[in-house]
Amino acid sequence: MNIYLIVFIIYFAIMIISSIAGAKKVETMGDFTSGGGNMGLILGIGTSVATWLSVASVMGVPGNIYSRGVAAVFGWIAGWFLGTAIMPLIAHRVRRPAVPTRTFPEFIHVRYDPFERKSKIQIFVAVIELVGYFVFSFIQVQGFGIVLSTISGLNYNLCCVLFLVVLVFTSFGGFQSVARTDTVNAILILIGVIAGMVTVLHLTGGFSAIVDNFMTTTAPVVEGGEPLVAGVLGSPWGTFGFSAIMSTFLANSIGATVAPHWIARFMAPKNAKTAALQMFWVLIVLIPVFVPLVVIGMGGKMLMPSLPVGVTSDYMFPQLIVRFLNPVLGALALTAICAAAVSTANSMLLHCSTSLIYDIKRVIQDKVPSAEEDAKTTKQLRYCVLILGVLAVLGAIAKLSLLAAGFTYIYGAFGSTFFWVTWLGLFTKRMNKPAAWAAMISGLVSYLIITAGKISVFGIPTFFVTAGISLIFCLIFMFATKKPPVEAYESFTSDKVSESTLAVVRAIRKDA
Amino acid sequence: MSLIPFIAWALSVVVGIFIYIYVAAKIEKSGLKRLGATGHLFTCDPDKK
Repeated sequence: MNIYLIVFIIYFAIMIISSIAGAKKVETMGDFTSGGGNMGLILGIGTSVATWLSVASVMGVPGNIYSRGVAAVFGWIAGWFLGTAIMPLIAHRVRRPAVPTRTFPEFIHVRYDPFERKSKIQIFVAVIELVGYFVFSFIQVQGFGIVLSTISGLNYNLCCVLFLVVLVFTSFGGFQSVARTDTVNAILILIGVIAGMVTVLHLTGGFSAIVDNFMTTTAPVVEGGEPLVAGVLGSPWGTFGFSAIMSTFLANSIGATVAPHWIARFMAPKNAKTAALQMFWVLIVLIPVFVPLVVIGMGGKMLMPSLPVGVTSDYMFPQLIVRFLNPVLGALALTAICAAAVSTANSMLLHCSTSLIYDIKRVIQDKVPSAEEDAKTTKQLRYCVLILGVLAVLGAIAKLSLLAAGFTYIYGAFGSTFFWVTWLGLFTKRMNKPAAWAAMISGLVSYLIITAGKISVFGIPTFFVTAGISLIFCLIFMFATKKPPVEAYESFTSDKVSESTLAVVRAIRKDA
Repeated sequence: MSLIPFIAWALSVVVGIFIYIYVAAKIEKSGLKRLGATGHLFTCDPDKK
């Protein structure tokens, strides 16, 4: 048995132990969906760090730097860091209510439809979330399958199925389980990428040599391809061009701040300060993870000037592991990639499951709240994770998109759809239901048209265009229709709220 | 090699520090334990102060 498979088995064992520890903490449906709104700082940092570190970051970012230059540092890394930097503002508001909501669609329900039991706006948001996170999930499975099959020589499809086993174990215990395994994964990712960086620096002769090569190389990305223009990899916009890289930057920064899985991360901490502080620490902890990824991406160009035919840039890091890292360091780097895939996919699957069962089925059925009903829903959530996991594996086998680019499309769609409903919903009292509908539909439709049609609007970044269209519709409807009731915004804009607001939130949560 | 991407990255971290301090100061000003006010900007557990 090769060392990579041994490492995978050890990794699998660690995941099972931490999953079981997390699953034991689940006593209520709230524990399963959002950690019961009682999560401490360390777990909050661990789960948030691991959520940022997906295969799109651990594999996609070095791959993009390798193939398209340091501009990828701007589009992805600086974008994600700016997104994290802004998040404490939202985290504070989302976790401010004494009785917090449990999911993003439920937050939208409270904020825009407080007196409606079967809220259409909650169901609409849940459907968007379900589709987006399902795509996210199979991108992660795909990343994992690529890595394990490349390194171990196992069949790609079999690797995806192995991933399913880990995935189901880690998400079966709900948010508590995901948070614990995420924290372990974050530590493993840090160790793995540092191992990769040390090896690359050793083999290339240091960072100066890497930079010199990066600035002068003309080697094509793929063997036999068109040679690069000397210096293009070191230019500010790389081979992307200004508009494309700026769109990526905005989608990854501002767009990410309203991604539903981040809003859900802000509901889990025990108080608003913990929610904000966890994002501050995430900003600091991510630095020693991303510096090695930059070195790996740039150094990879020196060690492997071109990739073999048929290999995309997403494969660059795994190729580097196979060809240049000694087995022990390679195994650590492999663990980092596995951990990145697991940590993101399990939380995405959890979101898919909560969207379908908690935000769609539970709202449509509108049964009388009871402890039995909550227990039944928790059980259904677990089965849903399993079924969606199987479907995600089938999606991954279809290999639909490049890793980092796939993420950007989803972040872009979430950003265009949810930007104004989240920001204006949290920071203004005037934002109301008609404006929320108008903002979401116009943002989503314009994003789909522009992206699918590859339309360039005077070279303006896509996110500016779609968010701009969304804002225009939002403002027209906001001021043309009546103000929302106080129960819609009070808990997010005031520290002390009325009894009627509390009663509305409890009714929407269907507290038993 | 262009430093613009790296400067943007560093600036993002600086922006994050300022934003966190703004939010934490606001929570401290409220004095509410429920929100996590502890009397210190970088602690968040009122029961452990």
